[in-house]
Amino acid sequence: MMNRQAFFLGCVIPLRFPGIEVAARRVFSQLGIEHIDLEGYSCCPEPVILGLTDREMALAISARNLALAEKAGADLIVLCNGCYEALVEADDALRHDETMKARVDQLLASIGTRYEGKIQIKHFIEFLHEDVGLERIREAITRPVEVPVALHYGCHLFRETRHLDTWRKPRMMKELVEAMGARCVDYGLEQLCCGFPISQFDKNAALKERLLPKLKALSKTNAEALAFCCPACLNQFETGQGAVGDLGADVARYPCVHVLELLAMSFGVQPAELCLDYRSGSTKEFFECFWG
Amino acid sequence: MSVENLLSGGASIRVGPSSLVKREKAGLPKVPPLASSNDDQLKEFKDLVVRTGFDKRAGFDWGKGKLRYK
Repeated sequence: MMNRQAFFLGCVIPLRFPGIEVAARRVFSQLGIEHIDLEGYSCCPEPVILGLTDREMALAISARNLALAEKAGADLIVLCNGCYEALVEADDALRHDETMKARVDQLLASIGTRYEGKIQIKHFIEFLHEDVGLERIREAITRPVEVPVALHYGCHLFRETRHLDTWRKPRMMKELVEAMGARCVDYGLEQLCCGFPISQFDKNAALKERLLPKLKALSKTNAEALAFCCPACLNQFETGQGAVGDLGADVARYPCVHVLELLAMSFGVQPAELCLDYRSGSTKEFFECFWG
Repeated sequence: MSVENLLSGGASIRVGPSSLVKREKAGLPKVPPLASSNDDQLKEFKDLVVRTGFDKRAGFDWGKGKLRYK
């Protein structure tokens, strides 16, 4: 374990949702947690399609990212579910698969670097829950989010390499959102995938078989917003809700908020600071209405 | 998500002008700390990909920055 933290921002947050990056920086600063940028990092790489297409390539790219953190003397706080899975599973594979470890070591040596497995990799939800603690977070909240919110955990949040309890991090996410004052609304399909991986092959199937059942289930609740901790899932919902309507489905559209945006606002960060102009749907209106 | 973006720039999303404008408006450094922000880091990333042979298996044309089937 290192004594400082580096953000692993991934690709989607800094390039599509910079407001989430702003929220992350503000939340961690307000909690007094020093964080550095991981200079020169690349795509994690994406664990479902690329990770399955070429495991050796995927592990080598992940290992280079982990080596950058190790060289900087920093543990990693990962802001994206997919990146979390790619990096944690690479770290785990390099600890347990000697043949692959030898091959990846050889590849890293060819570019003059190495990874020794000395760093800790945590999802931001895990870090905030375990290392910061809900009590400290509650103390920092100046504007409780007292609205009914439905959660979409995202498939990768259920991935565990060292624990058997796959609900460990999803439960942490729920407790974190509840610590902000929100009432988490159950809708029964929390574990269903958002459809993003399927959409790479068949957009309509992703909308009809994944997004639509979730939206129909949500319409039977009093949820006023959907909260995510994965930017890819958030993007799938935010853009997909309009497309589902184009397919003829009559379902309500929900504001899509990232947990870090919600947390930043509950810490007193104004909506204008969260770069919400570029978001589709009613996300900006949700934040402005809440702020009053 | 695109293999072409990954191999050309080290990120699954292209670092295009609209992303940079959004970042500036958000008060963030215009260029994120991705490998593409530093020539040496990007070269290191590309060298690693070449060593794995993935570029050949994927049929990536480095000159055009595209997959050859296109």
